[in-house]
Amino acid sequence: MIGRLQAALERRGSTRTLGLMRIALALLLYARWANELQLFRDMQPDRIQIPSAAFFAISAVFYASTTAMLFGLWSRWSTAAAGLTALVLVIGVGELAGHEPYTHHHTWCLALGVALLALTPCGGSWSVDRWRAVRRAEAAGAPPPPEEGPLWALPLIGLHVCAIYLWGTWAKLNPGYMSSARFDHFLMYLYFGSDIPDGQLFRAWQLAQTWTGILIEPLLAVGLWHPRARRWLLPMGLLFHGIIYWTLPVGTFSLTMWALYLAFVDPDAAHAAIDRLSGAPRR
Amino acid sequence: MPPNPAAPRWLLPARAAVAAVVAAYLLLGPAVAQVAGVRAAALPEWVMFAGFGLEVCKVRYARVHEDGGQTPLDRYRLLGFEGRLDAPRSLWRVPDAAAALQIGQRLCRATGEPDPDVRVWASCATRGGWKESHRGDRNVCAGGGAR
Repeated sequence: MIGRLQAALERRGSTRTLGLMRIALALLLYARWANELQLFRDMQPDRIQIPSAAFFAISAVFYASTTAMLFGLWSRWSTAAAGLTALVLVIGVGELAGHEPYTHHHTWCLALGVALLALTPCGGSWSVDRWRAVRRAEAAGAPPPPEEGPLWALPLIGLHVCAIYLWGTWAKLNPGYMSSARFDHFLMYLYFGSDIPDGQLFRAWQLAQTWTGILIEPLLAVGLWHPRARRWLLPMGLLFHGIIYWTLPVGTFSLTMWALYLAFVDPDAAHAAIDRLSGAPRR
Repeated sequence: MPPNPAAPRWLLPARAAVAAVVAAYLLLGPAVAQVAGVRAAALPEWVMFAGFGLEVCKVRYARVHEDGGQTPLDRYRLLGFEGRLDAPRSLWRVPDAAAALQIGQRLCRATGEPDPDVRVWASCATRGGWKESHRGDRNVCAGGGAR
């Protein structure tokens, strides 16, 4: 047990999946907040309930840190700054100042995901940091440094995904949800209006949808840690999030979960696969 | 890949401490709201769509004849629309019990009869499922009409 824990804390590996995750999450930060944090938005005080100086500071730090994160400049610091800014938006502006849209599932998921990514060497690949490291090595007449780093924090991102699934399931274990009534509400609100189909077949379909949702999340939370099950569960999870993205107003949630799924992909296997795809010699 | 031999001795305990704190925050943090029922601004809850889709009722309208027979009423056509596509949103997605009753009373007038008997059946969304608000046991054209 101690040996396994020590191995997990000393684990090193390819940084390519982390680089991909960094780029994806930076783009998702833009998608969620960039539009609302443009400087002229402050002229609409009902949009974000914070004073102008604070708005300017959050806006400036958001744009600077997310841009640096996207390009991989001072990657860990810029990712940490972007994650903290996102948490300020969720906790400070959303939960404490009462701007309800910032307290949703998808904003928490994204902000925590970015903050956790800052604990990893997320600038080791696909980044200005990597380009500078290679340039330094070339100038010294040395081979490029390996694209690797300490991966001890990678399972924490996986744990983040699992916590969302497990507590999301717990929240659904109530009569309103389990009877499929809540799912009826969603479909009626978005699609059917007050004239929901009333046949037995439709009721069975609704119950099946509800219970698929209830059962798939704990299955993913546990199964994604097992390499054999992961082969099947990763595509299943991607499809699950794709369907809810298509059909329900989940904001950036599905795409964030897709990006966070990279935490369950073996970094060295992904590195080798990318080498194979690009025709590079195997390591 | 092998561990970095140049790592200082404090590094692993520091990583273990950070990992333990973060893992506890992620796994146990939502319990504060979901199990203990206490909302804390700095803790996620992971309750999705808790208040979403609650502004909707399932409704049915019918005219009751003297012999007790019922004829379902098409609220769209009776109020002058082709169907749900050209009807205002509040007509095809009835938001609450009061709106369900109000539509019933508009249907009374739309029948064009001096003393029609129009009944409303409505159940509205709640977090716990459905709450019945009108069960068709009263003629809503006869003043007030709410059960």
